[in-house]
Amino acid sequence: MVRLAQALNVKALLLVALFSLTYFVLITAAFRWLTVGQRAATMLRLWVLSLLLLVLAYMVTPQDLWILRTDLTDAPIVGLIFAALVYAAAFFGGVLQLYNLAERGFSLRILIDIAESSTGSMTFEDILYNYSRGRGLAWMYQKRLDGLSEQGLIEITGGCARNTARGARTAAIAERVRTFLRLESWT
Amino acid sequence: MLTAVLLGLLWFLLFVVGHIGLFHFYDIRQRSRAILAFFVAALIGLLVCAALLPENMYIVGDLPSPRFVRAVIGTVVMLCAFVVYMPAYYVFNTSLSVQTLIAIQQAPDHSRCLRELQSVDVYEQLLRRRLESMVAAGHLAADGQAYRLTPGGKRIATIFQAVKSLWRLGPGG
Repeated sequence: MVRLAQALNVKALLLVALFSLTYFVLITAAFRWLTVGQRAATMLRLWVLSLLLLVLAYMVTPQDLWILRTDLTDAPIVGLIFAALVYAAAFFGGVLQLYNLAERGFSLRILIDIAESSTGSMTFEDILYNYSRGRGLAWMYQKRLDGLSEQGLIEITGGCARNTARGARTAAIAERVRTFLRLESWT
Repeated sequence: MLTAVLLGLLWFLLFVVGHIGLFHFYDIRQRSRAILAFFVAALIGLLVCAALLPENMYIVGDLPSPRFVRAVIGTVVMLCAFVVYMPAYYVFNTSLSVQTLIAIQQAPDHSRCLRELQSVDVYEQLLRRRLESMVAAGHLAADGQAYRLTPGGKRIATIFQAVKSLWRLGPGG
């Protein structure tokens, strides 16, 4: 335990843990008690603000954080960059990803639909027409098309969808990656 | 710390190159399990490396640090890189939006009519493939005509039901 405590005696990790926990509590409070439009964008804005505060906190606090062994502290700039990178990973790979999965995950919604069904099972047709508490796959796919249109990746004219220049670039990159990784289409 | 960070990045790079190479040259069915196995192998490689590297061997500009500290910092770096990398991988692997962009791009005149994209045939194809991959991943079990949750699938559903409840999210999907 002493060795473990010594290993974790690093200012960057302690500050990141504190800020990540505070961020999670704040975003949870906001989602529960405030009306938040464009949740993902709000999460990003709050994270950028908290990152600035993290940098400030790192700069104004002593390297030993009053409690750490001084022989385990690093040069300030190294620790600051490390803290920012870990905090970014905790956000983009952690809380934002958790939100995206909970809000948009196709497979997850299927799992939850089956878990919520009265019999504990669903047929192919049940899922096709009752996906996401009765809205069906047509609703889910329309949501994707709306999202692509809002992000400027496709434009819909005359009942047909066409990639914008950005959409075409994205498609070209994705197609190359999928071909290289030998991924099947429509998985 | 710099030495430990670089060690973590190096082993993560090996993991990425390894699993991409594997997917490119071999037809792997259980890709998620292969990725996890590769990552665990890379993590073990990092820990062995951190244990064998002398404490007085470090890169210019760094300070000597105990082996255990190097192992912990390297592991943190690898885990951070992994949680950022995997969503990006799954965007290419499973995102319906990305696959829609590709389908439009591959069409004659790079255009697809909505009635073609939004047909029941497409929905059935999407769903069939997704259910197959969920069964292969061990989250669902086919029970005659119906699909049931496996214990693993139940755990995931319970966790995300709790997240949705905590954040008061709608059904989503």
